[in-house]
Amino acid sequence: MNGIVALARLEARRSFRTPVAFAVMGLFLLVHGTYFVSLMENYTSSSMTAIASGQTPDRLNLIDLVLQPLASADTFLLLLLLPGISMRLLSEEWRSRTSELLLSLPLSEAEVVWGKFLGAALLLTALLLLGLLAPLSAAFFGTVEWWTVLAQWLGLFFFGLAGLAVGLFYSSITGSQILAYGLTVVTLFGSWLLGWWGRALDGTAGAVVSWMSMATHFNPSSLGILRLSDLVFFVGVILGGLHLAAGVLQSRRWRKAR
Amino acid sequence: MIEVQDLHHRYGPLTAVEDLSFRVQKGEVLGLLGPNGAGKSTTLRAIVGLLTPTRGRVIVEGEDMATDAVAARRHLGFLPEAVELYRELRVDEMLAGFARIKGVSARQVDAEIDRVVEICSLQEVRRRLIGYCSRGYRQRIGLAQALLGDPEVLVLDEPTVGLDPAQVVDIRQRIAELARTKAIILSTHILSEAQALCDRVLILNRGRCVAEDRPEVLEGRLRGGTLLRLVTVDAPGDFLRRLGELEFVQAVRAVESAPGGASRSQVFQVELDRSQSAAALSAVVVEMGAGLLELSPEHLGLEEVFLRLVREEGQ
Repeated sequence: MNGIVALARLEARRSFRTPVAFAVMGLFLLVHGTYFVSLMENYTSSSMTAIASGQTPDRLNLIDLVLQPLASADTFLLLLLLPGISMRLLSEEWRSRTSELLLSLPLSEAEVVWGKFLGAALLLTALLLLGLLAPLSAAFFGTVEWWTVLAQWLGLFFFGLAGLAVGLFYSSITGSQILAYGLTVVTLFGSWLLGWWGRALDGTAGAVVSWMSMATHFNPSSLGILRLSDLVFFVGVILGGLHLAAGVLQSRRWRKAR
Repeated sequence: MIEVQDLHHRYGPLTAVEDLSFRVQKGEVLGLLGPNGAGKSTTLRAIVGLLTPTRGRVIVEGEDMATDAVAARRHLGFLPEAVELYRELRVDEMLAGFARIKGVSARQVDAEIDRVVEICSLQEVRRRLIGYCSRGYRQRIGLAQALLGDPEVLVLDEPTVGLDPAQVVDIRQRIAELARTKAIILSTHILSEAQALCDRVLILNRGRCVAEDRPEVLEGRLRGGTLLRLVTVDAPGDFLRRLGELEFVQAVRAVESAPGGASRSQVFQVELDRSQSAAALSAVVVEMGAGLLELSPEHLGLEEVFLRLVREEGQ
């Protein structure tokens, strides 16, 4: 366990020394912030209109009009940005041949994979904590239900962790970061589309296809509903991705350690 | 102590290492010597567990690499060939990270970094980004990370490759100092390096051990007698013929290039029946009226040692 934590620390430190980490955070904040401002403008103008026409704005709340669409947009952003973090986790080790040092350390394959994953998870945590600036500033304009915000945050966090695990797997199989990025985006985007295809299909087939979508399991949390089954799904994706990545590392020892 | 038993590795149809067994004790340096493709790197990779061998066992301080690789690697420090490091980190940051991974307790990390920085003389670059360090420094940082956690066994893959002569001498000196307290296995394709550092040399050819002994014994065995370099000035015309007729001279040949471009000087390679005959040779040279500029032992190059061994094996 100490080895995992030590590797995670080293990995996080390395991440913050690369321009990619700052580009990912900068892009996230830019798009997230811009969208938040436009949603807030829409929210205030709707409130003004409602008040001017004498209606009680009971259906106008910050969650429905601002934070829920923002969280959904965030998942889409993460889908494009997280592969930028995960792509270098192992690909870069293969390409630059630092893998020889890494794999000669007293760590099992699973420990290497978990250390790398937790290192990247620290970056995700930092990213999503910055994202909390949105509900914090929204709280100045109205009442924010913090339990809903917490549910959304956890939903995004688990969604992000699952994305990182998928990305880590692809990063383990290739020395090309571009390829690892592309494969991860395609997989995550494909999983996103499954939700729509599932709705288009009827019956059990539709339900099964829908169930396989990451979006299906994120959506309830965007409305403030945390379901155990959704968390189990994300944990399953995480464990599966990491298990496969550890398997790839093991198989590299059987072939050639480069 | 490290023990390799019956190591065998194939890459598809190609046999990289075949039936290799050896043991290295604390305080001993074993050199794996051989040309490119002889199986040196494959052997070292199998020893540190980067590669799972097709057959055979590697036992480090009683831990079997096949059954508990993590425990076995805890006793190992590895310096890969032309080591690549995390260039975006500072030297002390990378060493601290590796020390923690190797199980050095949080309180001991700083002291441990001090220790390896001292051994490898890295004080000057301790807080520098690794990417800004020279090749020689990076090799020393590689050695420093191998020493973290004070492992009993060191595995060094071509530790002096790509370094300038001053850096080569420096790294060799550090390895020689470490050899007192550790079991060291190093690979090299430079015979003089093996001679300078190793207690025992194992010569590999196509994955098989063709000879194993002390470096000077190997060289002596291959040469039969004693090989000397003789430089004369103003030697008489029939000097070479008369040298060849001497009883204690087994072979003699003129070496074309004369050092320093002094046209009157001549260089010869003389093989004597035994080293004591060198005194007699020097007397005879002067008697013949030639000026004696130099008489020194000549070492065989790896190429020659290797070719002779392969020839010997063929016979």
